[in-house]
Amino acid sequence: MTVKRNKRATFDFSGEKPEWKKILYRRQPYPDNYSGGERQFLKELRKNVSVVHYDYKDATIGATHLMFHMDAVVLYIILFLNVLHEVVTVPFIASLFMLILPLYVFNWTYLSEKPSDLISQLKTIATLLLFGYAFTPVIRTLTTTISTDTIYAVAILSAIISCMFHDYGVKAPIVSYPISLSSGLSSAIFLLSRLKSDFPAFLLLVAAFILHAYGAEFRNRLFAVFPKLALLVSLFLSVYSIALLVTYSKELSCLWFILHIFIVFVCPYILIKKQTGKCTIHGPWDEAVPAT
Amino acid sequence: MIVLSESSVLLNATQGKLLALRKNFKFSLAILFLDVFIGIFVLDSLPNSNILYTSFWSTVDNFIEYLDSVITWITNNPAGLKLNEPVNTTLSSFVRYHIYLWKTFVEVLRMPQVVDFALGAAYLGASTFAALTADIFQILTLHILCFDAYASKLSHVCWSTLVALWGLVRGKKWNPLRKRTDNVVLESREQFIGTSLFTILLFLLPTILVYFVVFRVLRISVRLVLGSVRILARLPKSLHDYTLGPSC
Repeated sequence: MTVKRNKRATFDFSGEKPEWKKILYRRQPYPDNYSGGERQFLKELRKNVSVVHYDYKDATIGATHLMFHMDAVVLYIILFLNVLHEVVTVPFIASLFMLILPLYVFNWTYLSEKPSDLISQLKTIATLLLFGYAFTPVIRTLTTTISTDTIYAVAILSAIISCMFHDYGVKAPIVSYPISLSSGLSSAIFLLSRLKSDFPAFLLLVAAFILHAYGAEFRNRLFAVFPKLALLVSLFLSVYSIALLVTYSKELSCLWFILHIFIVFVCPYILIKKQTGKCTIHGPWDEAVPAT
Repeated sequence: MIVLSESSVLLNATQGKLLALRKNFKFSLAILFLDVFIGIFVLDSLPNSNILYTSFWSTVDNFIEYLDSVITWITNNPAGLKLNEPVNTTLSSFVRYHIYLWKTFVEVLRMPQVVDFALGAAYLGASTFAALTADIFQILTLHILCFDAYASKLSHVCWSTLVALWGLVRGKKWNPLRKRTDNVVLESREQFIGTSLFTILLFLLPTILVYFVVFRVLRISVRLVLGSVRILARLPKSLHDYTLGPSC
């Protein structure tokens, strides 16, 4: 069987040519890689199409998002250290959970956009109780043979990974809820494997889950609905984390303070200075985007 | 019958000899006579059956003791490996119990007739002697096959679960209908279970892998010994095939 093929058209390039059109459905007397000549091609060049202009205030508030989450993670690690060195007792951790209830009601009445799905939430609580409680003894004996320094290093690394993929309210390709939640949780699991008894480990596991699963949504909504309150809360968190770090290491506390200043005040300044130099070009060579 | 002749060296070798006899009677008969002469020579050079009996069974006992000491070595964190203690204890006690069963099994097999039987087979040719030895060896090391089966099954389950959970941790899942990985957004509670299981399995994997490697090495060494004896047992048929072409 022979396949009938269109005869390849031969063109007389010396003669009068019709004007080139950007269509595929008709054969035109131009080579395949022809794109309309230099003038036509560059006519469609556009610059800085998707650029967003930030002012200093917006950028600072954006940076506060980052510090809010990092302070929360640091406070969690400090809480873990306090439990490990038996500075705080189990009733104290349990009382922390009492704090979650008003936060939940606050979130539900003022912040949440979607209606509360009670059955799904009951399922989550049941899962946490059942599996969290079942996993805790396993988690606690998981890394007994591995040195504590290694565990701390891995925990800090995965906490940093969690912060990298966290949702800070900006739509970026790097944001991934599953990676952020998983690495945050595994960071907590590494830490919890150092604890000596089951019940505080279980409570801290649940706390880590709440922090990494619902922290992003809560914070983003709080910044959207009550910006001033959110700034107040982040100021409180910063001061609190810096103050609590002093008990473990003064140098670290100083560095943490400097990092706050750098991220909240210096980084937005650098962004504002640098964004005038931004130059992106767009044109027919870009990937096609379906019209919405 | 086919399954038996696949697994039993004696049946396999005898079958091969019969096939060779049917193809070329005179040549095969000559080889078989040579085989019998060599068998009698081997029998003559071996010590008598009593000494053979004691040394054989003491070798078997030593081997089982050696395996027991290997398990003890694994439970003491060998070579600085960070093994998980509860899993290690569980697996080692399971294996110890199985070794105990193996000892009982060997105890039952400990009859003077076994060695006599094997020595008597040498009158039927060196290849028959080798084949019977291989079969006895196979029966005695049956439990190593079991250890390897358990360990490889366990590590396979562990590994495939880890691979699936590694996707889940990154928010990906395998779509069997389209044969590709899709993005998936799970409920936070599902993510919680997946991540916890992933972390736990990741830290249990080295322990399970150590058991897998130890038993796989044992199985491979048993197969190497068995393979070399099997070559001896099949020598008459391969000699025939080599000179006159395949007999079947």
